[in-house]
Amino acid sequence: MTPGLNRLRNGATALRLALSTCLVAASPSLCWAAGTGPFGVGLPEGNFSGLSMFPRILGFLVSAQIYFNQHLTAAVKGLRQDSAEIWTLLALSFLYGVIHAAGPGHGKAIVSSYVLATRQTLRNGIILAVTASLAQAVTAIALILAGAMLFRMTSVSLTVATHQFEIASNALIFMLGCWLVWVKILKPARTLNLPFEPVNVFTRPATYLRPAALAGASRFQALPADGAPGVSALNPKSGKAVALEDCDCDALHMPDGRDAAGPMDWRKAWTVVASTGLRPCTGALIVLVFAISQKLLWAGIASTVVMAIGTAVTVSVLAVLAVMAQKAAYRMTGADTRLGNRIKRGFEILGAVAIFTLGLLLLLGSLMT
Amino acid sequence: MRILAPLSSVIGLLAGIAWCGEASAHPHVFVTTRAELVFNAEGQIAAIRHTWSFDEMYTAFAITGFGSDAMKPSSAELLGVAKQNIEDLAEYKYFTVLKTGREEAAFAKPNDYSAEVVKTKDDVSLVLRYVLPLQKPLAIASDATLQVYDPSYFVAFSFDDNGVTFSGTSGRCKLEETKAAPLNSADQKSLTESFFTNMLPGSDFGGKLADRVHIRCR
Repeated sequence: MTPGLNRLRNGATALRLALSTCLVAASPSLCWAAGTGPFGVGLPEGNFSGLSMFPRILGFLVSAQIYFNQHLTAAVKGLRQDSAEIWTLLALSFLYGVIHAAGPGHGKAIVSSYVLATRQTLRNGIILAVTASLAQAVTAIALILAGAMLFRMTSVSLTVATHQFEIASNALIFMLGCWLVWVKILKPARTLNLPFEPVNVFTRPATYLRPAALAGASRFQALPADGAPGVSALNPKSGKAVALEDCDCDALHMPDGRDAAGPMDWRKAWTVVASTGLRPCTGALIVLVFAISQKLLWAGIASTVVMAIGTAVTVSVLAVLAVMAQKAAYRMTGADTRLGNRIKRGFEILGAVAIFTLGLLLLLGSLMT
Repeated sequence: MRILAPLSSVIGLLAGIAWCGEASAHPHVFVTTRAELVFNAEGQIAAIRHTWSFDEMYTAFAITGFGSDAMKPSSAELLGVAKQNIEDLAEYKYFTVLKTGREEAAFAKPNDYSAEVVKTKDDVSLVLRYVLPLQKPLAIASDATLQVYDPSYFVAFSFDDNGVTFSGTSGRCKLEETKAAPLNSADQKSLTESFFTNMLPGSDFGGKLADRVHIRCR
C-alpha cells in the first residue's frame, strides 16, 4: 500500500466515520436544540442532559437566570420613575451577556472552531467574536422593530420567524462545515498528500476504489476513472485532480484556506458572522418586547446592545484560548517540525469536523421540527 | 499521520455533538404553579386542576401583538392563547409527573381551559388554567408524588407556597411539599458513574432538581 493511498484512506475513513456517527447521533432527542419552545416562545438552545453531569453548574445557571429575570424586570420598570436605573439595567445586561454566552448557544462554538480550523490570528479571532455577537443584537432589534412594532406579530409568529432564521443559520453552518471538511481534510488527502505514484492513481483507479474503507463512501469517492464526469480539472503539473465532483460545497467556490490567516478574509468569515447573527438570543427578544410593553423601547435596545457586548467578551475569550492553545502546541513542538505540522493539521481537522458535525446535527434537527 | 486524521475527526465529532447537546439550562420562562388534585368518589385521583402564572417579562412577550395597543388581548384572543398552549403542551406531557411507586399516570387531552391577564398593583401576569384529566383514575396504595417541571429547563416551574390542594374524596391522604433540594453526595456519585446513561433521553435528572409534592395515604 502506498503512503498516498494510506492518506486517502485516512481522509475517507474519517469522513465515513463522521457521517455514520452523525446519523446515529442526530436523533432529535440529542439535538432537539432546534425545535420551537413551549408556550410559543423562543427556541430552546439544547437539552438538559448535556449539563446534567454538572449539577452545581446547572444549579448556578438556573439561579443566575432567575436573578437576572427578576432584576432586569425591576430595572426596566424602575426606569419609569428613576432614570438612574439605566445604570443598573446596563450593568445587569452586560453581566447577563457574559454569563449567557458561557452557557449554551453555538455562536462561540462556531467562532472558536473556525479559528482553529483556519488558524486565525489573535486579532482576527477577537474581531470575529465581536462582529458575530453584535450581529446577533442587530437581528434581535430588527426582528422586534419590524415584527412586533410594525407588523404587530404575536409571540407565536415571532417564534416562527425566529425558527426560519434558525434554519438559515444552521444551513450556513453546515455549508461552512462542508467547505472546511473539503478544504482541510478531503482535498489535502487527495492532492497534497499523494506525492508518490500519482500516475498510478489515474491509470489504475479501480485499485483505489476497491478497498473496504472506501466501499459505501461513494458520495465522496475520491478518485473516479479517467475522464469520468465530476473531475472538473486536472492540475497540469502533477496530473492530480484539483476539483471535487459532487460535494454540495462545490457551489461555494470558496478560496483555499490552507494558508495561515493574515488579515481577515471576509469572503470566508461572513458565514461565521451570519450563522451566529441570524440566531437572536431568546433573552434579548423577551427583554425587547417587555421594554416596548413598558413604553421604553430605547431601554430595550440599549440593554440588547450591551448584552451583545457582554457576549462578545466571553466569545472573544474562547477564541483567544483557541488561538493560544494552538500557539502553545507549536511552541512545544516547533512549528516547522514534522510533529508541529501534524499538530497543525490536527487542529484544523478538529475545527473542521466540529463545525461539520454541529452544522449537520443542527440542520437535521431544525428541519425535523 | 495515519492515526491523526481519524483521531482528530473523532474528537471534533464529539465536540460538535457536545456543543449541540449542550444544556439550555437557563430558563426563559418562569411559572409559579398551583395544582388542585381532584379525587373521585372512590378516593382515586381523577384529574389535576392546574393554575400556572407566568412571569411579567414572558407575559409581555406572550400577549404582544394582541388588542388595540398590542398589549391588551381580548377574551377571544386569550382563549386562543390558552388553546394553542394546551395543544403544544401535549408534546411535553404537560410537564406534569404524577407517580405512585413505579407507575406513572398518563394524561388525557384537557378540554377545560382558559387564560387571563391578571394585573396587580406592581405586577402583570398571564395566568393559564386547565383541568388535566388522568386517562384512568389513579388509586394510591400508600404514596404518590407530583412534580411539575421541564427536563430541558427552558421553563422554570416552582410550586406556589401551599400551592397544592385536594378536592373531592381525598380520605386519609395527606400532603407534604418539598422544595427543590440541592443534590446529595449519593446523587453526585451516581452521576459520575452513569455519565453516559445521563446523556440519553429519558434520564430523570431534571426531576431531582424540581419541586416535589408527596401525597401520603395511610
